[in-house]
This record gives sequence, structure tokens and C-alpha cells, in this order.
Amino acid sequence: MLNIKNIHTSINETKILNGLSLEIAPGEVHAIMGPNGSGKSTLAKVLAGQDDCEVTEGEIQYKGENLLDLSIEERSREGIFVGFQYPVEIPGLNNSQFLRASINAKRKHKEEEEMSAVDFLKLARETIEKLEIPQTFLNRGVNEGFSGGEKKRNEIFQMTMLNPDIAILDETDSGLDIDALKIVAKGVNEFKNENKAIILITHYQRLLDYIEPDYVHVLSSGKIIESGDKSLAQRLEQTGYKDDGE
Amino acid sequence: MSVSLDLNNLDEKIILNDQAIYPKLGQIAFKKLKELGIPNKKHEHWRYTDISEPIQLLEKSLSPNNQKSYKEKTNKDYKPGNIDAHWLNINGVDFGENKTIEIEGHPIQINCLNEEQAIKELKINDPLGCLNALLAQKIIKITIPEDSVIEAPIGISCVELPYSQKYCSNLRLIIDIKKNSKVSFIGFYESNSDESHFSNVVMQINLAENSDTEYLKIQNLSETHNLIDRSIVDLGPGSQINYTTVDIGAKLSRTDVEVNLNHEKSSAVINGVYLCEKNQHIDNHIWSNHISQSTSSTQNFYGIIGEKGHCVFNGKALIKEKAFDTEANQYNHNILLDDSASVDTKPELEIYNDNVKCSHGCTIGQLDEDAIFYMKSRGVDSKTAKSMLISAFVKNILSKVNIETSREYLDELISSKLEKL
Repeated sequence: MLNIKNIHTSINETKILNGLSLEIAPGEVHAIMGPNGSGKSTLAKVLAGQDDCEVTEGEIQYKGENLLDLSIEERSREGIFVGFQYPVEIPGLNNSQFLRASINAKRKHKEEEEMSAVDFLKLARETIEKLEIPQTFLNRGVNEGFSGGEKKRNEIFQMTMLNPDIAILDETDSGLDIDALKIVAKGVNEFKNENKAIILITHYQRLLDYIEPDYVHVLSSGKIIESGDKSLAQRLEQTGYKDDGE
Repeated sequence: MSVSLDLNNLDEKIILNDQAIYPKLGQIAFKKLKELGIPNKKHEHWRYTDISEPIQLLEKSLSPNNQKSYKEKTNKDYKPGNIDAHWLNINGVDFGENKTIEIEGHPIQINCLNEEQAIKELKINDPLGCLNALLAQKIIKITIPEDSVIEAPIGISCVELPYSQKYCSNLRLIIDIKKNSKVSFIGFYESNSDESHFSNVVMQINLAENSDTEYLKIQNLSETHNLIDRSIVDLGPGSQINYTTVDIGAKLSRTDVEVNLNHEKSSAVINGVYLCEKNQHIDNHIWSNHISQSTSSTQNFYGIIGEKGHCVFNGKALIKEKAFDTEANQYNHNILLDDSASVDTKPELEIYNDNVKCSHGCTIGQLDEDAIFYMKSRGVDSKTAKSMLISAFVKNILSKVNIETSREYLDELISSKLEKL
């Protein structure tokens, strides 16, 4: 589904990713771990298409197409979802209005009929209940005045509503208390199936207790230095990155 | 360009040419005008707004060849913006006539004042107000009797008089709300011609004890129209006003709101939204005079300024010695969509006692690029994202408008304007 080949990127002329390669098939869950500054969030930004991340070398194939040729919004409409580490607050813009515009942009792109306000509201209410999020979320401004945990839950809510093919979740576990972590994990596990791929970017093994990864990769200085199964995450938790990475 | 109106024989010019409907009032206004002078950029309150063109149009209208006729532009079914309201036909009232119409069971008086009444009622304290009184064609007073609670808004189309005369028109309205009454108004400004025109409008809103009113001004004039619109609000004890001005159109639009909090526990919320595009000039001057104690005023103005647009905000609260326990706030927020867009903003406080709670501030910025990226990452295209952000920004003000029947029209008006920005 997603094939990242030897990617090099720089932000403001500082090299961040330095020959990163990763192949992901449908149904797989990949965890990417690594110390601060190793380039984990940059990978999420590159996949989302953020303008300031310049790809200087390498290529990314998504469903057989060159991902780097797609605009930010086209990537979303083609089934890529990036859950951000720091979701932006948009005061005054109603959460459900935003999400409906988002869903309908995707539907229009797929030449499907737009979702009516009634159908949208029904789906939104069902989804929000499953994620144990208060219904009032729908009428609040996008992330406006949300706590860190609420913002992350809102990302999972958006992911579930948009139903992407691949979800890249950037430190979705950070700032969550144990109850919120369980809710987020439940949302991700319900989303997971043989057609969906998930990339979990995280610092901690804690999240992986709830969402079981098929592969764990260690990112250091902009490239993957080690890959393994779940046991790699457990080892990292005990020894830290230092022994592994440097 | 300098303002060229010759004041020396203006009174004779108007009166000899039989232009003055209210000659005695005109003489009083003219005397005051001579003291004050025609404003120009050297005057602090006019330094950012050039009124050469409106004044030229006014001069042109004084030519003996200019037609003077009251055309009945509106019919009974006239419903501006298709907004549900009790639309008043103020043009259908003749000089000196006093009509009573019934709205929701309450007798509302519409009076076209005669000279004696006009001299008694009119506040003439600024140069444009003097010109308005000197050239007034009809001075209309709307009276809401005591204890009247009227649910649906009362609509006043402020284009009825403007096109009764070529080049320039001078509408003066007095809204008198008696005690314990609750009523809302829509002042609707929409052009029905593309000819250059100057509308010089003055509105006096008097609120008696414990009355409560909402006034919504919707201005969507053509790009050849110049508007100088002054409202003088006098608040009685315990009365309150929620005033919102929505400025979308016109080549030049100047709004002055003078709020006099003369009595205890009176309060005023003066809000505004302006969307300004190519070569438009929109200026808001808001003045809250806190004379009595326990009064409050809030001014909140939000603006979006596109290519080569220029806007001005000057909000002032004057808090007098005896106005203890006063609360006054002024805020102005602007988003510039282009490097050539500009705004001059000045929130001011002038305080003469220690027992007050005041704040003021202003911001000028661009649309949040991070928010646009976030929205794009959810599939929304850039144009829609920007338009949603702007709508969210102006919603800060529009959500405070309680006249529900205007909502759909306002949303459409804002969306169609956003297409042009």
C-alpha cells in the first residue's frame, strides 16, 4: 500500500530524514519509535504533505502512485489520515461543520453523493458514543479550548468518521491518562482490519500494550536502524534508545 | 483632494432655491455648521477618511437643475433581503402627518415631523449632522409606546429616501422607545441604482427607562455609493441596546455611533463586522460616553480586508468623574488578506475616576496558515478552508445577533462577499 524508498528531507535546510525506507501492506500495524529529534514527526509531516518539509531525495509510492505528486487535500481524499501530535485549534469553526465538509470533499472526489446533514449527524452521534466522547464535542469549535487528551480523542473521532485506508498517528498517546489511552486504543482497534494499515509513532511502549503492532522500527538520525516485532519495543522500554541507536 | 464646499452662501443657495423643507431648522443647522466647519483630514476624527467625493455629490445636488421628486419606490409587499420583519413604509408618511399602525397589538406611531417639532427633537452637534438637518427632506419619528414587547423585528429600508433625489440624500430618523418596552430593528441599506450617490443618514435612538432594544444595520450598497451614517443613542435608566453594524458594500462607508450612558445601570453593546474589498473604504467611529454610574459599554469589531481595501476603527470610551462602577471594553480584530490591504485602528480610553473596570486591544493578522494546513489535511481545499475560517471569524459577532429572521440573509450575504475577496 505504502512504499517509502530512501527518503531524504530537510526543513529550513536542516537535514532531518536521511535515507528512510519502509514498506507497509494492508492489514499491518507498524510502530515507529525513537528518541527526540530522530525524525518521527517529520515522517508524519512528509506523508501529510506539509510544505516546509522538502523531500530532496527518494520516493514514496502510495497505491502504486507517486504520493509526492499529490496535494495535501488529495492525499486525504485518497485515504491517508495523519493524526497530529499538536492538533490546531480553530476557534469559531464548528466541529461537525468542519467534519462534514471534510467527508463531502472526499465523497465528491470519489464521485459519490454528498452526505446529508441528517445522515452525517446520525453517523457522528453513533461514532462519538462508541469513542466515549461527550456529544457536545460536535458543536464546539474545532479543538477550541480542548484539553490535550480531548484533542487526541478528536483526532481519533475524525479518523473514524473519515474512514481512511492508512492512518498515521503521531504521538497520539502523549498527554493521555490511562483511561483516555484505553479509549483511544479501543478506537484504533475497532478501525483496524485486513484492508487498513496503521503507523503508530510513539515514544513509549505503553500504547503498544493496547494496540499490538506487527512490526516495530527504531528511528535514529533520520533512518530506521533496527526493525523487529513487539518484543523490540519491550526491550527498548528497559534499555532505552542509547544502547540500541548509538 | 481638498473639500471644496463653499459655506459662505450655502444657506442662501439652499433656501433661495427652495431646497429647504425645514428652513428655520436649516438656519440653526447652518449657524452651527459655520462654527464647526466641513471636516477634512486635519480633523482627528476624519484624518483617515477623505470625504471630498460625498461633498462634491452634495454640491451637485444643490444645482437648480437637479430634479427633486419623491418617487414612491416601494410597494406594500417590499421585503428587503426577503427577511421576515414588520417593514415600515416611511416614505408613505407626508410632511406633518402622524400615522398609527398596529404591530403585534401595539400602536406604533410614525410621524413626519413639522418644523417646530423638528427644532425641538433634533440633536445637531456635528458637521455632517448639520448638513443633514439643512438638507433634510423628511424627518421621521417612530414611537414605540410604553410596555410594548414586540417579538418580530421592525424593518426600516434606508434606501427609500436616498433615491428620491439625485446625487445626495439626507435621511433623518428618530426612534423613540418608551419605558419597559422591548423591540428590535433592522436598518437595511441597499442601492437600487449604480449612479454615484451620497447618503447622509442620521438616526437618533432614544431609550426610556428599562427599555431594551436590538438594532441591526445591514449595509450592502453598490460600489458607487458613499454613506455617512451617524447614530446617536441616548440611554435611560436601566435601559440597554445591542447594536450591530454589518458593512459589506459601498465605495465609502463611515459609521459613527455615539452612545450616551446618561443614567444608572444603562448598558450598550456596539458590535460590528466589515468585509472590505478592492478600493473600498470602511470606517467605524464608536464613542461611548459614560456619564452616570454603574454603566457598561462593549465595542467589538471584526474585519476582513482584501486587496487594496482600507478600513478604520476608532473606538473610544469616555468615563466621566461621576461614572463610578463603570465597565468599558473595546476590541478590534482584523485579518488582512493581501499585502495591499490596510487598517488604521485606535481603541481609546479616557477615564476620570478610579472605580472603573476597562480593557481594550486590537489585533491585525493574516489567516492562520497552520489551520489552513490542518483543514487541507482533512481533504478540504484551500479556498473552502479560507472561506470557512473567515466565516468562523465573523461568527464571533454574528452569533451575538438575536434577530433570527436575518440569519439566513446574513449568511448568504457574507458567503457571496467572500467569493469576491
